[in-house]
Amino acid sequence: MPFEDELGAALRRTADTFDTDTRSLVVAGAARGRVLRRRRTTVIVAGAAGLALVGVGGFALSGLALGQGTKSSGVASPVAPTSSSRTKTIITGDEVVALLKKQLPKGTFSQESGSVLGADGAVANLVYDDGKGASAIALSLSRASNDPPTCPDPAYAAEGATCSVTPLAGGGQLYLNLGYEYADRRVDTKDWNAILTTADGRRIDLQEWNSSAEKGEAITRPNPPLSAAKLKAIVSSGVWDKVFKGLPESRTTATPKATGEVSVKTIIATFQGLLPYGMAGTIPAETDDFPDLTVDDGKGASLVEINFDTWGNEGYTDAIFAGATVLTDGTKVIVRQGAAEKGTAGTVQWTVDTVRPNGLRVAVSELNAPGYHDAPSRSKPAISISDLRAIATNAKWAKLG
Amino acid sequence: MTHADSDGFQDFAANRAGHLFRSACLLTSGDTHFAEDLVQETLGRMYLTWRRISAIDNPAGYAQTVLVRTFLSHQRRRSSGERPTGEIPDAPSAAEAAGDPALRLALLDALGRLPAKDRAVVVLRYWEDRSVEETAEAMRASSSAVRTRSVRALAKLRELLGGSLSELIR
Repeated sequence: MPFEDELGAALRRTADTFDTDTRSLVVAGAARGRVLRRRRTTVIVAGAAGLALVGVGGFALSGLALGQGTKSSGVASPVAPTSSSRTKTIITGDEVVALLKKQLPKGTFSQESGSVLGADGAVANLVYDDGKGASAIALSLSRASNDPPTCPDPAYAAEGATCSVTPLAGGGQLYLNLGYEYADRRVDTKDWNAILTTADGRRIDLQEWNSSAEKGEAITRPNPPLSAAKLKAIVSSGVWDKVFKGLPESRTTATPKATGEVSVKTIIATFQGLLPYGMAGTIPAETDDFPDLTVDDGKGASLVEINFDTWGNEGYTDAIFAGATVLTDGTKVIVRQGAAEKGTAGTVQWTVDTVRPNGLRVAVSELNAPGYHDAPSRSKPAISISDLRAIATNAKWAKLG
Repeated sequence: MTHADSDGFQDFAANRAGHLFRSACLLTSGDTHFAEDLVQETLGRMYLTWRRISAIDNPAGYAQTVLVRTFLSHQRRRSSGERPTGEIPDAPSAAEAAGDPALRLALLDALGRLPAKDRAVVVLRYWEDRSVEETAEAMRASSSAVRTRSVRALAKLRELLGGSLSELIR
């Protein structure tokens, strides 16, 4: 038998000896996906009379998560970091769920899942019924949070939503958003979210819905069960210290260069530098997940979105980029022009979507309106297609991060 | 994601987690904790983009690609002083005990001595049975680089495992 064949057989025999609790891997994988989803936002830049920068996509593996699923043997096993001989008791996903349940008023619980995401933090999810209707509840604790949330531009928020950010003594803040799952309120699922962030980077994020699931289920009650005051009390509770103390140490001791984690400021600055002559933007004092950048040339506002994404587009972009033009450096470019994917009638959307050979995705998209829920303000989007293409394919994007 | 999406993801993940884990154990040359992390990260990314991925032809193949890329990306972040994992495989499970411990240890050790990218090539080509081109695509490398690594990795494994491989397989 040729060596390769022998090797193949040997690999299969060896691989078969590895067994694991796949169920807890699946749960932890989904939890990790939810954490990743929270971290990724889109940059929306409105050109011409209004440039609104909404968020930035792109996140990095900040050292691989040492995950532990909900399966718990009752005793947390010690984990020895590679560079130290100290062992400590690691908290389990089940314990995080139990702590969350303790904070809630009397009721029944179902669909519980909790996961420790390594040094990064922990998540817990459950469905809670205080007797007046089931509610999905999601808790996320993270240790190294850099961008405290700020309230979305009211122009993009759902009607009836309220949002506030209150600074706290000691340098943190409390963000409270009593809003809707969908900004256009296509269904009346309410999404109420309290996020406490501390000066040392801790983030306690509690979310609830008036439905047994975030999306796709009917509403079960007029409002989610926990009042704003109760949300605030829970995220401010000292009980979460136990979780933070119980997280494993970061696996890597070396701090890598910010691989892929590009700040909103950098995205804004880069984009500004690439705008056609005559268009410029001013950044307001607060830059956050959803900052605003405005430009005025008096001809009507044009919402522009930038999606800068270093990790979310591997392999499957092949379908999106079928038939794309390929540049000499290997960048694939595709241009789409047509009716906007959502929004009021008559809204036109132009998109230049690119992916670099290393997986970096830069997509720039613009409307002929200041927002998806606003009437068109002009016949065509502000930036010409050739300028849009030049922005999206510019080499500067690849040099970030 | 909708309920239907979520169910789809759950089914997919439940079906593939085992295979991904085994793959990851080969990539990490036996470090099961690291392998679990890799699988979680991979499933997390699949979850993140599930709506778009579920429509493609081969989500299982895509998951494998993501796994390898995640592994290689993590390798880039490790401090250069760290030795590749797999020094001491964990205590044998029942499955392990039923298998051939000598083969297992020898192969895991040999894999551990390969550079990460060579190991990735070995796993993709000889465990996943991918072609040179498919392997190159997954690793975002050129076909010639993959061929070079294949040749080198096989030579090294042959040197380490030698004729004993055929004896070990029986």
